[in-house]
Amino acid sequence: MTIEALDLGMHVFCEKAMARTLADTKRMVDARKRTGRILQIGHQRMFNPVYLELMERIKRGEMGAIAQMKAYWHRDSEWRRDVPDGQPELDRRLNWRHYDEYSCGLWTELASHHLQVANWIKGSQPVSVVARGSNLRWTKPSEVNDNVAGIFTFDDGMSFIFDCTNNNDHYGMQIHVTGSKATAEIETNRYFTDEEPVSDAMKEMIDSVMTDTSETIPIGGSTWIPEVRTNYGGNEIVKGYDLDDTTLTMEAFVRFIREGSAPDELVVQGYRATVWALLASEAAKTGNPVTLPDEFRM
Amino acid sequence: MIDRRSFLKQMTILAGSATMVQSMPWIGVFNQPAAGKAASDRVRLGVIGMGDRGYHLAQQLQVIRSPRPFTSIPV
Repeated sequence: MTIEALDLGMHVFCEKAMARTLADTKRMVDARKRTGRILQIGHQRMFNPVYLELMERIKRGEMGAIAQMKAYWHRDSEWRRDVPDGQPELDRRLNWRHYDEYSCGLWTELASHHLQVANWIKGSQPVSVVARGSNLRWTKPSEVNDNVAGIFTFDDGMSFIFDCTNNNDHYGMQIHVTGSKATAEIETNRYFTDEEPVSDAMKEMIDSVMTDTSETIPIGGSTWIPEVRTNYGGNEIVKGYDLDDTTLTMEAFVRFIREGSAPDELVVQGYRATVWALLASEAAKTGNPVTLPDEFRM
Repeated sequence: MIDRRSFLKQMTILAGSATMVQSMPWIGVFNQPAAGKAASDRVRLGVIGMGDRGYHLAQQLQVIRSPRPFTSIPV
């Protein structure tokens, strides 16, 4: 449908993931080049003020070298829609997400968003992916997994670690970016510098200890303390916002149409997110590391 | 608090940085002048696939601030 619309001279906004196969995904981008029309993929974080601000900080070097990215998306939902009595043939249409012919399940439906973010932050794309998946929840037969995990490796050795389950939503969704100087939890708009800001009272106490003006305090207790998450709550990346990034995404699409063009990078972000979601699905099926064939590199 | 005015200010600041050119060239579109009321500024939109997400996107299209309101036609 996207290619036909482009060939008819229309600009197209298409939700992620772009297509079910690498070949079809590339055909969409080729059609965009051939027609000169706009093709925008629905990755709304590209217009989210929090992500934009964090990207600026990363590029300024404030977070130091990005050592690792980790993301998860945990849900507890049933994808299956009721099929009308006596019309079982509609199952493939209504519940297409459960069929391998149409969907890679959690990879294409959810991981593609976080892959777009990881690729964007790195300014490149992975060189390989290893992945696993299993089926623990679906009560009716499904061809896609409800529980997946993958490690995407970039050319400098950095790993983007992703896991997703549709069995329990306790942890919700998050993207951690770990740099040598700071850490970010983007989905909750939090930023943690490596050195926790010290309050005046604490600073005074530290100074008194360092200058030996305080009495020695005997300390006893356990010899091992669990290395749990620090209590430092961090700061907001931006001071809150009342904008919906999907609205901004749609507004950008309308503005691009009025301009008559859009930057190539707009569609490259969507392309890379889709192809690596497809490759992760293949890796989970085969159990083997998967790389991107050269003809699909973009 | 980032509201629309602050967002556009953020875009103006980012537009002057090398980061925007390299890492987020698409946001430059928010620094273009707002559309006028000429017929050429009219954007006609059709929506294919009015399921959960398609319906949500159509709703978003209808709240975009635009000098020329438009109508989404389910296909």
